[in-house]
Amino acid sequence: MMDQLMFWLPLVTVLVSAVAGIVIFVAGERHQRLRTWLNIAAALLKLLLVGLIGLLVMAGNVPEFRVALLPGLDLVLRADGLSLLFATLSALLWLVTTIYAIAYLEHSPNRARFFGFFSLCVTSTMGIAMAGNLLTFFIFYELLTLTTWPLVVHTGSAAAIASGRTYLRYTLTGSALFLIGLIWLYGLTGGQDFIAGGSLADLDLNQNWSLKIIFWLLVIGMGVKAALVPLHRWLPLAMVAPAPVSALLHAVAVVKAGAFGLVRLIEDVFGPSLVADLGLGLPLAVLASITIVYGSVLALYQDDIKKRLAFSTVSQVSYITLGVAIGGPVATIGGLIHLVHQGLMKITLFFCAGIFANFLGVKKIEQLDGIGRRLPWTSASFTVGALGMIGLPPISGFISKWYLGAGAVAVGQHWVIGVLVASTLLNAAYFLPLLKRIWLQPPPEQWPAEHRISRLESAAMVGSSITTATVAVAVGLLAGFPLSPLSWVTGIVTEYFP
Amino acid sequence: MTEALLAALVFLPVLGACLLLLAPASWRAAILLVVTVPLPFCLLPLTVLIADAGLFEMALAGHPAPLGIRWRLDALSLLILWLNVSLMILVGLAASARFAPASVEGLRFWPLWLLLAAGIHALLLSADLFNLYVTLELVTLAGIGLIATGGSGAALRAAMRYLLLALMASLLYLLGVGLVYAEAGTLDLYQLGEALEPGLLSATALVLMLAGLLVKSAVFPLHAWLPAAHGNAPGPVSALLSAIVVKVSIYIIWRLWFWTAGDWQLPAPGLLLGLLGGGAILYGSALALVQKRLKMVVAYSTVAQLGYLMLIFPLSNLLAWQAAGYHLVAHGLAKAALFVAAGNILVSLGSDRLRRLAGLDQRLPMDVFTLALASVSLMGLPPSGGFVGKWLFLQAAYEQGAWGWMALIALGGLLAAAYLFRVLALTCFHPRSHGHSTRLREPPTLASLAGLLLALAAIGLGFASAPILGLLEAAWPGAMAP
Amino acid sequence: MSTLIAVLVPLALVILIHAGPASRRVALFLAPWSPLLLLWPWLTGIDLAMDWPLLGLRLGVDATSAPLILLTSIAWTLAGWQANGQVDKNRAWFWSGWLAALSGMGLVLLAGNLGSFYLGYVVLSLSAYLLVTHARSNEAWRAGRIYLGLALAGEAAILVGVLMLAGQLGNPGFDELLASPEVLIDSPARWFLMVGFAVKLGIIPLHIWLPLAHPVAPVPASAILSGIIVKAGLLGWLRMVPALAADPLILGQLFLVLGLVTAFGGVLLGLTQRRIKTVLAYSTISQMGLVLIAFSVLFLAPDQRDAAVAIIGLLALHHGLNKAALFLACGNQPGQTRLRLLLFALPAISLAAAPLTTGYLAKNALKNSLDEATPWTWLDPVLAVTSLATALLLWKAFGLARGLRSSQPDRIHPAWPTLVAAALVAPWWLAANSNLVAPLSSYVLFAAVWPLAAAAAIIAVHALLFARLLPKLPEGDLVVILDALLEQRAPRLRFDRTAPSRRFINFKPARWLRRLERQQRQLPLAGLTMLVIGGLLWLLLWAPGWL
Repeated sequence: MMDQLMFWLPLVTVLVSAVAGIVIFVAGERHQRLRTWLNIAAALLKLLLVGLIGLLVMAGNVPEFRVALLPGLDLVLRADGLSLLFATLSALLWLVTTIYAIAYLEHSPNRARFFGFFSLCVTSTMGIAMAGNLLTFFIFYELLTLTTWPLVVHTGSAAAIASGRTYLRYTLTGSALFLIGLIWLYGLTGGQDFIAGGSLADLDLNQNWSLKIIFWLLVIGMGVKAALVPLHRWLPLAMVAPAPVSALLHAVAVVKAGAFGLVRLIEDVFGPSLVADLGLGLPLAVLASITIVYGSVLALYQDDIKKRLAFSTVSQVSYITLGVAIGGPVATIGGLIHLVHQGLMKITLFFCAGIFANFLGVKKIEQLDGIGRRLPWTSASFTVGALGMIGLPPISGFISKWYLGAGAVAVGQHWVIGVLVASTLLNAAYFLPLLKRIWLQPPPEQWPAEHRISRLESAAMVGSSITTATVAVAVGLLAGFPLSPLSWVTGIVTEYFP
Repeated sequence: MTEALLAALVFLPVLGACLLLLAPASWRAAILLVVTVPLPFCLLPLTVLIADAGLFEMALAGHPAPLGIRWRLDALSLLILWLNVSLMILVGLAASARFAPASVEGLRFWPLWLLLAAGIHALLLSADLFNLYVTLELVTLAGIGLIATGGSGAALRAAMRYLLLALMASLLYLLGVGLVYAEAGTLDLYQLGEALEPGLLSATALVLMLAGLLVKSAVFPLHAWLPAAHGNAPGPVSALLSAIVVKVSIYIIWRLWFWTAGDWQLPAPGLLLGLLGGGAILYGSALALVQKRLKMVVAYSTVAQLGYLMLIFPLSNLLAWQAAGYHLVAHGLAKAALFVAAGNILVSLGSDRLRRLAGLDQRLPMDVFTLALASVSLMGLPPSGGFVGKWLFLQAAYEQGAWGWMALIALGGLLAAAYLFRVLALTCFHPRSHGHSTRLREPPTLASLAGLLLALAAIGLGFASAPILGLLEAAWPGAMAP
Repeated sequence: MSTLIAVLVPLALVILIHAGPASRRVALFLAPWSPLLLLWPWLTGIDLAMDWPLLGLRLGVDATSAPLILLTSIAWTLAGWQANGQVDKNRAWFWSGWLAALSGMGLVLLAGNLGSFYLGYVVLSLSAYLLVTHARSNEAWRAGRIYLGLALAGEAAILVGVLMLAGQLGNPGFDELLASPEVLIDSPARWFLMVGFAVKLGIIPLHIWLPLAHPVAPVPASAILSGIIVKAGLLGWLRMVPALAADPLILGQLFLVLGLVTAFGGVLLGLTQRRIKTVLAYSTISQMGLVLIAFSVLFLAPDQRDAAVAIIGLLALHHGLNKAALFLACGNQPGQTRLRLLLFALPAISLAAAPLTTGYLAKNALKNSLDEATPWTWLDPVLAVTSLATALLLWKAFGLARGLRSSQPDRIHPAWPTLVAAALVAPWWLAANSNLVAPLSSYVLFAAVWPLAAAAAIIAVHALLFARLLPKLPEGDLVVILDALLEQRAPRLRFDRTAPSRRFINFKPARWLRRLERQQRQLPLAGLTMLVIGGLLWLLLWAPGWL
């Protein structure tokens, strides 16, 4: 009985939202009530299942689903510490995003399609989180591309379709290279599961050049989604999608999947020591640093709120890459914990940007003047997100920065501090003017496009943003708490660096 | 018993075709059912047999080899037989909605349909070159007849061009067969290997046969007839033509190459054939990208996808063999699904111009869903049969360090994504233009359902690869020098 | 937990202010008095160590922070009392900034480890922005911008230092920091921190925000900015830039010279100004020069750390109270009556170190420790000249204060005289407690008096001197350069073409491809292709035979 549970649980957890998605598709546009409840129920159920897995893992079990896809190639879904981190994050944020999205899209067309793909998208993310080897990861990674594309082009405007095209061009090219790298790797090693510390480390392959090329092929594949410069162009364009999609792209699923993949690649496939031996960490760290600074500089030049946020994501997600690329336990903690922190903060920001646009038609930065008086709670959440992005204590962004900087110093990479500080200053430069406009400037006589929003909807949307903002503060403020993400990540990292 | 089953595979459809022409209109549906439903049940025991014995041979009407007709069933034939039978049934479901058996159109359509099936079955079982010629002719002619049932001017013109080229190809093939007979004194596919020494005459014979077959299977740059024919035929017909008819001539090429000429050292011509395949992938994809009609996109996609089947010649190892076989099956299912869906769309809108497809996902959700699923497999995205095929191809290329082929395969996947996502974007996400009202006739649910089942099967192949790969491994003419 | 209330209560009040009208009334009633909570941890001496907030929180009071806690609880409370009566515009935002800054300051004062201090410091720096820009005039926005720019630059330098320390020590307590010289000696962290905190202190050339921010901020806000908040930088120095025995002597000498430059530079620049709050701001800069001189003693004689820290504490308390008193005066029409002028003059004289004042007390202690720490005999007269210079500057301020009067008589706010009184007494008490009261001798008295006499002489002929010699410099002097740089608007570079390209479907060769394909369909061409392919194949098949 227990064995059966251990076997099926990961699969069921992954498929819950897929089933919901399919039912939503089949039920069609008219069954709104069914759709709403199904969405929420699936999100709750998924959270519950992830929680259950969490308990089982804490009790020392390893739930694992395994089926042969090709002879010798297994599809493996397995829950370890790292996958639980990502799974919990996306399950939680999915719940919030679902509630937000239901309210956000209340009166727009094509909702069945939207929520159907929305659910499938989360299925893929969960699959990525639980993937137990690189092939499984790749499969769900591709599935994620497929299921997010309809969301990106959802509005059907020319800009949306063009951005969807760009999205595909980047992601599919990336995944073609990913596939070649994958084949190459499988050719060298056969199908290896993810192992803490790297499955390649013990093989003693003496194929350094091949391994280096494979590494970079895979980095490109994942770097596209993680928006590493110069593969980032799709992300700012994709901000034409509705706000919940942006939240999903930037916080829950897509860029996170890329960054998570890089973490897996370095920690579980190559292994930190092999990466260090091959001299791969430093170039990747430099690339991540360039991305961090470049994204921030570009953010300065955007006058559209969501676009600025998008470039900010480009910059912030690379913190994760930077952390794992630097190596060493402390910096790795910094990178992994930013996976959680960036998600919380960025989702808050996009929720708020969506509320500004949806309630008052405010989309440009100069339209933000005085909005703090009109939408105080939203503005407060936005402020929390923005200050956290800058990395100010006690919001969670600070914890990431602290660990990244300290970890870099600990392994003697002092230049990283320069990058972090530059990013902090640039973040301040592009976020603080927004805060000043929001709180200190007088409001205009007339908002660009005021919409009537029912009380329930506004409560759902504003409530979502407040929730995520609160959590973003709480995980920073209570970072030392035994159940905090930080403690969790510390536990994971001690496995990699015993 | 086994002999009877094999005979049933061929003669049941023929019998059905005759009965259809004779019986009253109201019986036709029942006749169709009676002759098609047993087919998979014939295949089941045969599968068990092949799984055990690997091979089954029989001499028709008791005459032995040089004179009589010999049938031979091995794993490869069996696999393609399964593909054909499934397609016959599922696409047949879709077609039955369009060509009601009791109607006049039905009378034109279904006998040809059954003849096509019989021809394909006989072709797959044939063990000598002349029988292959006869059955291939049967298949071609039935196919041309089916194209013509579309009735439009374009369809007739396309059928005519197909007919001319196919006749020319048949003549070339027949010439080759004649030369072979003169040289070796036998036409048995599997005995020729020893009888035929490499030499000027046998090489010429092989080239003649290959050239004819390349035309019939529309390998780039000899594909000129295919897009028009497949693009203008009725949906279910296009489905069969693209999914199986062009494949059977490639099947003959495989047989000739790996069985008859199996122990010749042929790297250079193999490379040429591979390059033709590569050209097909690039050129077909590029043209699919610039088409203005849905069915033309799908037709050019066939041109491109056939290219993969040629990659077996330069790569030429077990993995590549499995890859090609898997690709053949997966592509067959996915392409049939695409054409069935495209046919449904064409029927219900009265046009398949891409511009007019905007907003279609609201009106024909099931067909669009089929389109999307089949596209996933064609692009080789996981999890799907297409992905498994692509994965195996890449692995095969990797094992031989063939980086160029790896790059080509990856690029092919990207190009497929490019033209298929273009279609999906146009159908689902472009806002509907209000200028012209389009006539909308709901396609029969049965037709949509059949398409969906095909697409699901294509996706499902991604999960159940082991038995098929096992069959293909058994079919690999292992003595072959790589 | 009780230690935390000094930090948490102000934050709770901020929330109450924004929660609703009724709670706002309660919050505003309580707000001015919340600094008094800082006395609680000092008096009880309860230390706090918690692991779960942030990266570990340690709070407590020690000898280094005690004078500053005394300063904050007196001056911030009294300034708040006056603010309660005098700030009536945008009250919610003013008090939010005020209380948040207080909370940050409280954390800075009580912090016992790196992380807690940094947290407090950030909160303090950011919320002070709300105080600087309270007027919301163009001038205020500009001052706020420059303040924030410099503050963030300072934060950046501090962050570098903090992260470097964190990389080697984790989240060290300050006692651990002092106990690990082997880490500090090789690391540039201390110098980043030194520069970062110098921004807050207004050490030349990082001073430019002070003369801009003080005049535009409301009077009570200027008082705490100048009197207290700048001292947060000082505490940063004392905590995180410890002098090590292995430091070369030249470092201490460098700081000494820098301190002198700031002390004199502040005065000279201040003399060119025309607004009283600007003049007072420059006076603060000059006085922080003195603080830097006192700080250099730590490096000149690292073994006498405790004594030097006590002197610095005295100096800070003395300056904080007196300067806050002078700023509070600016809100009370000091030119209205003689009594008010007297109340203005008292702290001014004290700052100029007249005998028997607390300024004298502090300066004398500083002089004595410098005498011990350096062999330089020229320092004594130079230090005396700083008093002279301060006297001149404050005379200027006094002259400007006389002009501050209104036609309608208004009541004097009781906070001001209370602060003046506290400024007279509190430093004496502290000095007595830390044994810094030196016996009075005629020599000492002379040394204290002559600078003032010289100042009086100069003032007597000031019309001749200053009117001609001193140019009128803009407030913030060096900011002109910064402005010039910033006025060159950042170039509008387009790094990224975000406009989507639409060439995908209609890509160029489309038409060409279609034409090619149409020709391919012609039968003769198809036949020819067949021949070519067959021929090629034939050649290749047969080629091995030929060769």
